[in-house]
Amino acid sequence: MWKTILRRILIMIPEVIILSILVFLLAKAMPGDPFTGSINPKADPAQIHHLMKINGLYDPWYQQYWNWVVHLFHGNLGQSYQYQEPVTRLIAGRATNTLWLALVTMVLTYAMALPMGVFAGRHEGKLPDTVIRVYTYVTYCIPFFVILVLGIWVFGYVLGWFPTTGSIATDANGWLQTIGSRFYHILLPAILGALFGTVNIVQYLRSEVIDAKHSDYVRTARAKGVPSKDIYRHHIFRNSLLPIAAFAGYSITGLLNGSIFTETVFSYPGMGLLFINSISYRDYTVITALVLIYGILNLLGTLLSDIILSVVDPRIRIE
Amino acid sequence: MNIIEIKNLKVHYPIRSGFWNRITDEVPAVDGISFNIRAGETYGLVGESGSGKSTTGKSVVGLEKVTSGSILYKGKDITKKENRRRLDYNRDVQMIFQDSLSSLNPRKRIEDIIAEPLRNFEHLSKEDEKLRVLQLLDIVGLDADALYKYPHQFSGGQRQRIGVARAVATHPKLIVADEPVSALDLSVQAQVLNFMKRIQRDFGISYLFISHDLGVVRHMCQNIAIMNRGRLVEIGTRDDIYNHPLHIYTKRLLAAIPETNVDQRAAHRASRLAVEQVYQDEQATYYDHDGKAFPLVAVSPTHSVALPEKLAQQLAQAETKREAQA
Repeated sequence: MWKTILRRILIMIPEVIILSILVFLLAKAMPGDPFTGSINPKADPAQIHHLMKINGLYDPWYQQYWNWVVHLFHGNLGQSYQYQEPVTRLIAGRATNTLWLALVTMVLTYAMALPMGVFAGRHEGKLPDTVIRVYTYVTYCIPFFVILVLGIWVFGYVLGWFPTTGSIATDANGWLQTIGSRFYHILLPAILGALFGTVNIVQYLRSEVIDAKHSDYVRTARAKGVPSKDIYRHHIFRNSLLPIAAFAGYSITGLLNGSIFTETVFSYPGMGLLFINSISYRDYTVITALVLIYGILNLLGTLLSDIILSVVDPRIRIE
Repeated sequence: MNIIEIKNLKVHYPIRSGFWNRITDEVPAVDGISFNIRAGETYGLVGESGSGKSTTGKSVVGLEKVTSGSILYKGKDITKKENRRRLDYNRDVQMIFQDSLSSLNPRKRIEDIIAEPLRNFEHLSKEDEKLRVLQLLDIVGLDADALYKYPHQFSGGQRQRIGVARAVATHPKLIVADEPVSALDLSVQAQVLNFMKRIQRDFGISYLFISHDLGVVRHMCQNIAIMNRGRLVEIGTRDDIYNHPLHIYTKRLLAAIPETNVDQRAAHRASRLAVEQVYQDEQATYYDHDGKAFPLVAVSPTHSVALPEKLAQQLAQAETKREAQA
C-alpha cells in the first residue's frame, strides 16, 4: 500500500519538472517583457536595455529558468502588475474562497449522484430509472453558464433567496456570522454546480451497477443466500464505486477549473475570477503562477485518484 | 428417501423485440423435466452445451425464475420465494460454479467470502466464525494464510477448493455443482473431485453434478440423467447409461468419449461413424415432429428412456438379448 503511494509520488517529480519548464517557456513566448508599459513611455531605450541586462533577461533560457525555480522555492512568484502586490499573497487570499466553493459543490454532487446512480441501476428500465436518465440528459445538454445566469436571475433576483455577488456580506461581524455569511454566499453556486454536475457520476454508476448485477460473483452471493439489500450494499455498491473513485481526484481539479465560470458569473472572488481578470489585464506574472498551480493541482488530482483506486481495488497494489 | 423432487419443470426465457420491447417469443431452455435426487447420492445431469442443464441447476438453487412446474424440498415448493425464505432454503442447498475466478468477488478476502454464508444464517462470535473458516479451509487442504488473500492470488484448483469450502460452510444437504471441474486441467480435476467425494462421505451431502464430461460423471455419479434440447432423453443408473444406452443421443455422447488406446482407434472411429449414421437416418423415430424428445418411458425400475412405448420395449429387449449373448 505505502509502496504504491511512494512510487506514485516519485513518478510525479519528473512530471512537475516538465510542467514547470512548459509553463516557463510559454510565459517567455508571450509578447512583451516585464518593462513594457510598466515604465514611463518616455524612458530611454538604453536604460531599458540596461534594466533587462541587470535582471538577467538576456541570459540563456535555462539560466533564466533556474533563477525562476530558485525564486519559486523561496515562495517568490513575482509581483502582480495590476494589483501591485506579491503574487503569492494575492493567490493565497483567493485560493481559500475557491477551495471552499469546490468542497461544498463536491459534497453536494456526490450526496445527490451516488443514491441516484445506484437507484437507477437497480431499477433499470423502470420508471424511476427513466426519470433519472432524462434528468441527467437535460442537465448535460444545457450549457453551464446558461444555468448559472438563469439561477442568479430566478433565485437571486426574482425570488431573492440568495446573494448574487461576492463571498461575504460587508456587515458580517463575529466568527459565527462570518462563517454563516460565507456559507450563504457559497450555497447557490454550489447547488447549481451540483445539480448540473451529477451526469457523469450517475451514468457511470448506473451502468456499473447494471454490469455488476449480472456478474458471476453476484450470482454466487445469491446462491449463498445473501439477502438482496446486502448484495447491493456489500457486493454491487463497492465494486461499482471503482470508476467513480477513479475520477474522484480528477473531479476535484475539474471543479477548481470549472470555478472559472461560476466565479465570473457570481463575481465570487476566487482563483477563477482572478485568472479571467489577469488575462484581460495581461497580468503575466499572475497568469504564469495560476497556470502552474492549476497544472500541479491536476497532477495532485491524478495522484489522489490513484491512491483511492489502490485503496478500493486490492488488485492494483504493488506487492 | 428423496431430498429433492423436480416435477415437470419449465423455464422459458422471453425474447423481447420491437419498439415497445414486448415479449414476441420464448426460448424453452428447460421444457418439462422431472427427476428425483435421493439423500446422500450424487446425481449426474449430462448434456451438450445449451441443453438446459445449467438452467435446471440454477432453478434448483432458486436463482432462476421458473415458468411452471415445481421443485419439492421437505414437501414445500421452493420455486416460490416465500417458501425458500421460510425454510432458510439456501442454508441447505448451495452451489459450486464453473468459473472459479469470476464467481468470487475480486475485492473481498477469502475470509469474508467463506464467512458470508455463516453471517447470513448463523450468528457466530468473531472468534467462532474465524475458527469455522479455518476448519473449512483445512477440509479443502488450504493453509491459514489464505484467509487474508484475495481470489486472484490463487491457482484455479485452489480457487475451486475455496468455492467448495464456501459451499459447505453452512452444512448444506444438497450442493448443486455446475461443471465444477471443466475449467481445470486433468490433474487438478481429480484433486477437486476427490475433495468433493471426501466431503460427501464425511457430511452426507447430496450432489446434483452437472457436467458434459462423461468420464468425470462416471467417476462421481450413481444415477444419471441425459438432457437434450431442454428435455430428458434418458435416466438410469450408471450401469444403465454406460452399458445399456437406449436413446440414440446417449449413444452418440458415449461414442464421443475419446479412445486412448491407439490400437483401437480405427475400430472406435468406425463405431462412432456407425452411431452417427443411425442418428442421421433414424432421427425422425427418436424425436417427435418438433425435433423434441418424447416423454420418458420406464423400461426397468431404474431405467427410463424418451421414446414411443413400442420402440422403447423393442430396444430394451434387443439390449437384454445382446447382454445374454455376451
